[in-house]
Amino acid sequence: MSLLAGLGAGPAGAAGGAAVVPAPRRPTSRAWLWLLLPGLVYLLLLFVVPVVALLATSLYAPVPGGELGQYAPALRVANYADALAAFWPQLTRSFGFALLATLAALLIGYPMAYVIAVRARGRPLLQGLLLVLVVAPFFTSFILRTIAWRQILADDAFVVQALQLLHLLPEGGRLTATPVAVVSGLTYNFLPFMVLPIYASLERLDPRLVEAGADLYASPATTFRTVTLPLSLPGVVAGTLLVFIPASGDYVNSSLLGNSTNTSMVGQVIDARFFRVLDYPTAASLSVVLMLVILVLVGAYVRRAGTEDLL
Amino acid sequence: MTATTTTTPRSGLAAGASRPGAPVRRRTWRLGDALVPVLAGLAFLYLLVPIAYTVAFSFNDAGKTNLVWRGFTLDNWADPCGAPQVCRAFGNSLLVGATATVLATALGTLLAVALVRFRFRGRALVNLLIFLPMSTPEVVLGAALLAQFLSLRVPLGFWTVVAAHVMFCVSFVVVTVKARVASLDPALEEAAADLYAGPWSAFWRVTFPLLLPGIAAAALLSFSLSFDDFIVTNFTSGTYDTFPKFVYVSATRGIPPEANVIGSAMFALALVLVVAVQVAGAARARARRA
Amino acid sequence: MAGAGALELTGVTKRFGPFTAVDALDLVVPSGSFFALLGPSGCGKTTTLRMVAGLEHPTAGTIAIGGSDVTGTRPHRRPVNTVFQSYALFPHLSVAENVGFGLRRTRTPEVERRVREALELVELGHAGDQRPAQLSGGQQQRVALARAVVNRPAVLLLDEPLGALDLKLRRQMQIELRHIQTEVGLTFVHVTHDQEEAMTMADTVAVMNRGRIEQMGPPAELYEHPRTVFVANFLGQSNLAPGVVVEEGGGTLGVDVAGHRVLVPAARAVAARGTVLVGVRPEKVRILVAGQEPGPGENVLGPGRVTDVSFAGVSTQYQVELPGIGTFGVFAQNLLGGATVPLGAPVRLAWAAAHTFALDGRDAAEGTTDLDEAS
Repeated sequence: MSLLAGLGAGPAGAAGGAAVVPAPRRPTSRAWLWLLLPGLVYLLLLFVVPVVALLATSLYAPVPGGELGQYAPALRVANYADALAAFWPQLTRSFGFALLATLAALLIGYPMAYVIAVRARGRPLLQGLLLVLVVAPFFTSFILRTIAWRQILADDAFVVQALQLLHLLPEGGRLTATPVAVVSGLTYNFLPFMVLPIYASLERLDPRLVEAGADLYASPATTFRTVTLPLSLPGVVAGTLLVFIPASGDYVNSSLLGNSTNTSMVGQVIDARFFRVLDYPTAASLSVVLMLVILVLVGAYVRRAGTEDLL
Repeated sequence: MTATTTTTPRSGLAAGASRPGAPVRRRTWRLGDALVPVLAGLAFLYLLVPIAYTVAFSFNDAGKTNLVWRGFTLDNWADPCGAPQVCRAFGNSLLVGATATVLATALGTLLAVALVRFRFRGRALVNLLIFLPMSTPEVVLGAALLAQFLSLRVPLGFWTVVAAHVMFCVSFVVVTVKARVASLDPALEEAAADLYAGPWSAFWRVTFPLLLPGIAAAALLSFSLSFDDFIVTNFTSGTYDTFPKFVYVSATRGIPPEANVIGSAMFALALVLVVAVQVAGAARARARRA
Repeated sequence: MAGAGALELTGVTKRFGPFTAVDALDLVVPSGSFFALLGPSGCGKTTTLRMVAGLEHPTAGTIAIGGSDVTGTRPHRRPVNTVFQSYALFPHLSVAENVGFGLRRTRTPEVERRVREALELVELGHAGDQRPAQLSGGQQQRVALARAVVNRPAVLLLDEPLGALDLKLRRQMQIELRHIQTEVGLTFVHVTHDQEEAMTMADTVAVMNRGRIEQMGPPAELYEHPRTVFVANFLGQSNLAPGVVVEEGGGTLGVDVAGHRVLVPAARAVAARGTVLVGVRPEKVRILVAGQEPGPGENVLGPGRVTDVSFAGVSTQYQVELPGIGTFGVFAQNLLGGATVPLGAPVRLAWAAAHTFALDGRDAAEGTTDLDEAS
């Protein structure tokens, strides 16, 4: 249970704010510095410096007459223009797929979280069991599960043949190697990240507020719209971020469930530029663009949702 | 009694109830009551179908590729290390997961305590620095680390993978433990100080034990994130194999059923572990009540 | 509709598994009255209230509001509003939005004006834009009241709304609530475990115990004429002593209490023969020290001994042990300042026979158990 509570209380815990929020105190000693130092130095060396290095790499220029994969420090801003021109479709597709997967995960995940938190309230064993079912897939490798989907939806497998027999899928139609397959793979893989924060914020919702809604002439649907949903918003914001961010950079789903032409995402391009083409500047500039776009989107979204304290 | 006319809020409201003499309308079955559980049930099914598939195919009498059902066997379970490299990759994953978890939990807990309990200049900046890795896609983290390791000529292997995993786990640890620290009454530490405990022993004897559930949750979270990571690992591991990486690479050739055995066993283990914790917790709660 | 009560409960029963929370309750609350359901925790009063609001469904029986049966009606279609014990103010809405919530749901016109008036009624006209969390406990309580009153419900339910306030604020709010009720003329049903609160506020009090109503009536009548041991002890304090009726006639019962003859007006006796419990309120009793004699028409018990003297400002409270009878409490007004009878003094107790009441002797075994929680 503690694992589940912890997972759930993740970002939403920070957003919703615990019941008892003690006022942080002014340091009387330098204790805080010693607590902070190891973690900060670590993040500085293994997050900030590499990101700066990535930024630098994105501006490198090829060594004249050098071998493949040889680059020298430069300020070649044109790398960005080249990368965007060449891989604009993959970039926009990544955000499109991630957005669709986030919406799908929200639609599927909210009822799950609602049933666990509200309908199973007061039955801790049922609640625990359902939460385990949400979390346990983490421990079966997500690549194994994605491959399982690929085989379940394969052209010669039962599902496709049944759909064709029922004329729900045209003769020769397929489920794998389509954008639908990639989006549903993304939805599937990141679904628990949607369920847990929403569960955490619904769990904290005082059931008497729902009763007060009913008492004040609001039908169950209206009470949900005017009371439950707004109060679970911190969880929804955290969940959508936790799905959207990894989904937009993912390439496992698009390479295992998609095809090379109309489903490839920017992660695939970065991976290929790095490992196969040894085109580090392009890979780096695409990474920087991906990161910046996400930061801008997240910033605007969090501001709009009014949950800046998520940070 | 004269107030009667003013007491009905809206004539329609009172009239909405059944008229006197009409049969009493009992609570009827409502669509909404059943709709949500049904939707959630379908969602759980969706979540579990591929796991069921993975488990089923761990019993497949597969030849080279585990793509079609060729008959039931227990051989794969009898010898999970039968396929070369599966067990080594799995062992590597456990080792990386454990090492990264210990380091990330220690670093993250210290950060969380500092952030909740102290107000200092630059607190917002520290919060931002912790939030940023969570809002950076793995492919960017991987690429950045690889660029860094390459330019410093650090040989890729176990330690580069661990270093990378610690980095993305720390933020999740901080967020999880922070929620727990925030729910602790700071008066407890003051009470400890009042009872002659110095700051050091106040932390170890009062704060730390109360934080343990949060720390344990954070440790489990970071182990599961590390164990299941593929993208960052793929960038930072060189030739070092982890379980997800092994599965991904062998996907093109066909995954040996032994990999399904390991995946299924991990799933079952997680299930049993959490259910056991749950049951133990319920028993403890019962004992406390008695 | 004139004759009908604002609220009528007929045979209402609620069981949770094997536990019967409310047991075949019959109740009529007249329109425009301030009605209090008084009882210790677990007596079923809050369950009753929740069934009226529609938040619980009765196992049996019917509930009618303003003459129409609402037993199967869902909470949002009932013309009742509740002031919740925890206030249950929506934390994400402003005070004005909270108060206007119900009006918007029923599409009542002129929401802003009504909200403003309701907030002014509870003296929070300035706080409309604030969030509930920014207000003090007393202010939140008044917002919760305004949020309910503004809808002009047929019945307004108050679920221990003053429980979270400190004593001084609670007394002040009691007076304000009473005042608001008279002003708006709504029917209030107030659930409380505080007997003083019930008596100061309500026109009619129903004392509940174990899912049943023990006695119902105006506060003064309940206090002066308790009909069960539970009511006698829950509503104020009572001195009770077992006795046997030995004579009857002329509107008076003669009861033998451990060898003393005690007279009880027949109209104040629940049982007129056999074993009875003779009772008197502590403030009606006076202490006779050596040399003092009872007046005409007074009952006398004793001699006994003063075992405790506690000074309580307006009065002094004595405990007097009467051999063979038990311990009696006596409240003496501090008219002359301070205690006048010393600890250990041998005394007798006297009170006007007209203030004596008699309860059924078989009632003695039960009823006294819940006293500890009642305070």
